[in-house]
Amino acid sequence: MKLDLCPGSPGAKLCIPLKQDSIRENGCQDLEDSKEGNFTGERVKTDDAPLRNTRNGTIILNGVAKETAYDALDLKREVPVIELLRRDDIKTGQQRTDSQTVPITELRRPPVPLPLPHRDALIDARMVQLSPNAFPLPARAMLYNLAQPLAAINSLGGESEQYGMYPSNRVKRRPAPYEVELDEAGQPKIVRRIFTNSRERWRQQNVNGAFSELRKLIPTHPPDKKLSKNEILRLAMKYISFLSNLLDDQDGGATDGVGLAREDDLLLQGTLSPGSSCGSLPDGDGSPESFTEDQDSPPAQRTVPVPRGRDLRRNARPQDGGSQR
Amino acid sequence: MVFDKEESVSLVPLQSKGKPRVCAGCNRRIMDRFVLEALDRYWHEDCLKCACCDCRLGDVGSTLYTRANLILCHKDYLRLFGMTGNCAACSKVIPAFEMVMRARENVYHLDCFACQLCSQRFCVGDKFFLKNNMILCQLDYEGGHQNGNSADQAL
Repeated sequence: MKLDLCPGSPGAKLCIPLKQDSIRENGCQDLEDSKEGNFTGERVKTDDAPLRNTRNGTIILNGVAKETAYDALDLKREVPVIELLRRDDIKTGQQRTDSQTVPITELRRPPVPLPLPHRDALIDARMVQLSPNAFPLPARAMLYNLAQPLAAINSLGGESEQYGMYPSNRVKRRPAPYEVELDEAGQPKIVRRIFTNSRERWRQQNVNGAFSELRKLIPTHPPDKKLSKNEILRLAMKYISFLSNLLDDQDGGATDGVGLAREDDLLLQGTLSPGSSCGSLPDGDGSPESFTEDQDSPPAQRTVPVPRGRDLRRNARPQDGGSQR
Repeated sequence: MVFDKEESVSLVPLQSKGKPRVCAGCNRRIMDRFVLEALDRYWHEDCLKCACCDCRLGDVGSTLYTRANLILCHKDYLRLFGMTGNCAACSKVIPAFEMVMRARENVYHLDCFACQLCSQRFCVGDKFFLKNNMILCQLDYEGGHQNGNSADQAL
């Protein structure tokens, strides 16, 4: 029995005195050797209760207590690992966030299930369960708290480290909890559910991240106006068509100047695409400095394009002034 | 020829002068008390909006910009048509109002500001070096540093 190794020894705090099968004991031993005393948290004696949440915030699965103590701060490596905690654990854990600066998780990489070697269940179970504090911010951000790092970054005013970026020299990721198969009977269902939950959560956060990235590109007034997802998409469509029209007219238009009065007429006609409403009017935008001169392209003899982004200008008036549509 | 105009927008009270003004945006009579006057026309306050961000130009400021037959506010005008220069690393345009990194006379995109040999971005406090107008991190700089190159700065 390896029980006597467990209590008190520096690197052995993970071991939980078990009276169960030998696998756990072996795992206990191996864990000691492999770890460098990462976890200094409290240990909870196990019992045979399948799943129980103790007041210390540990989850007991199949009689094996996983330590999720909050003061396991010795984790030096910044390993983004999906941790499985109950909700109240999460909330209490978030209050004790480490203040160490850590690189930010890239959400685009899915949690890759690493090939699971033949290992003891206990080891994997142990390796999976890390305290919230011990986790670097990316992992936690990836899991639960996306608003915090994002707000912090936004307050910096920069887009340097978007919260979706992996550092380039990150440590190899540890196996995620869903790779653990504690038992062959009954328990994998819980594992599968947890796996599905966390995968869905990760996917959702990825989508939200993409939405916020898109939001940054959409001009609004005021600039920090809150847009719903629907609005983000629609305004993005409007903006894209607006820019596309702008580009078409600048590139395809003649460069001869248009009188001021004509320009105003075009303005008043409320067309989104300048200069294309009438065949007789060349484009009035001239040649901006940055674009090549398109002298040879014929003036826009085309009909008015379908006003895709027409509502952009809110000047949707019925046509007047003799321009064909 | 480029038609960039910085117009003035003024809010004028409209009394009943006998001839009610017609809004240039919606082509309806303006029955409001206050009327925006711009581009020698009259507008509803709600009709004179930026083509890009849809802000009411009467509220935002006193100038509007017009270009390519579009009415734009100051910010959007600069964002769309402003000449801001190119990134020294990728030679692409730098859009207006974007965060940039500067090194001496060079301007870089925020994403482009990394060591050009190992593609590592810098942390606050890192030293970077300019060699042959290239950005280098400390390792790469000292790796190839044979002669005295004084073009180094601390970030």
